[in-house]
Amino acid sequence: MAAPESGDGNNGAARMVTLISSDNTRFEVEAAAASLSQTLQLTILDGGGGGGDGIPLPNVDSATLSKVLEYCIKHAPAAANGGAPNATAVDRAELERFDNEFVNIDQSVLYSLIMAAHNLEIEGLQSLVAKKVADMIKGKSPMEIRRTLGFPDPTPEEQAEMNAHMLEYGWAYE
Amino acid sequence: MGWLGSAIGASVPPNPFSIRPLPCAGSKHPHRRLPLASERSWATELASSNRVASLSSRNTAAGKSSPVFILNPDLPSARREMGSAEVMSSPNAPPQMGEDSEMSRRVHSTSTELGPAPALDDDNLLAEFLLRLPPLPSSLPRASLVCKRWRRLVSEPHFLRRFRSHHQKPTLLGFIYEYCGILWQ
Repeated sequence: MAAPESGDGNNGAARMVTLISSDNTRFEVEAAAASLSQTLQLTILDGGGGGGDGIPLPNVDSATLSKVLEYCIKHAPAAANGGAPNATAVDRAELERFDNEFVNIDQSVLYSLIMAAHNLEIEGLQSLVAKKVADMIKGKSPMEIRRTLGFPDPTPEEQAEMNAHMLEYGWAYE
Repeated sequence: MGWLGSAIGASVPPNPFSIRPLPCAGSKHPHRRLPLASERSWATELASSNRVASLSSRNTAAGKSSPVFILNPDLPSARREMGSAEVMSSPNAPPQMGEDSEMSRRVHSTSTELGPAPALDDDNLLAEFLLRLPPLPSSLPRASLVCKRWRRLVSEPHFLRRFRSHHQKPTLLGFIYEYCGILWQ
């Protein structure tokens, strides 16, 4: 994934783009960071988002967008390096630590992050939040999963089916 | 397994909102994929789940063992089927308003399934989450018991292939197939 400003090569200063959240807050970030989003990358390569224009993101509110950009800015240098031959183990450990803290958040924030990562197609972030959700449900019984994710209680039919199933195949879950 | 409550084996009182026996069979749902042996015992499963509430007839329609499916009443085909449903006293009787609104509420709550997590409504996103469950033998069976939609997703061959390639554990797939064979037949 080539960073767009390296393709332009017009000046030394990193090119900035402006993103506008659904509640009209403007965020100015480096194009390299915003380009982690596959959706934005195309717009940015086309020269959008510069100057006073800004790229409107009607699906993402400002709280979520700032969180997303925090991730993008942190991960942009590593992504720009591509294969990252000069990324040391320390850098990677640092990124990992950042990631772990990054998803240590409230569930509602996590869900809006998931949707934002999905809409903006930020691969690393999608994978990160998906891992977090998987961690939330791993090792739990079906009922615990339902509670964790805020499902309504099962209907009597569902409960009966589950009970019948567990009676017969409970050994598979040990 | 604390949730294995005292209801085991007990007959479950019929839910007034969920009982709508329909004289339906698989052939009435051309969009429905062929039922696998796997799905028979689970009474309720439809191909395009989000607009569909599916309910079990096990405790309701006397002597009937085939599953009953109720489509979203907004759909024309559902209207048609509801018109011919046995519960209706006469084919020309207007839908009872109270019951109908209860019905749509019920359909709604079942089809969306969860309040605070719209992210989990998307099958693609859900698959991403479930893919990342640890490749332990108990992971997918547990997920498959969470709800019907999860069960459908987890038992899709495509998902199982992805799960295997994600974890690079070919032996696990063997277990899942075996598991399905035992479970679903």
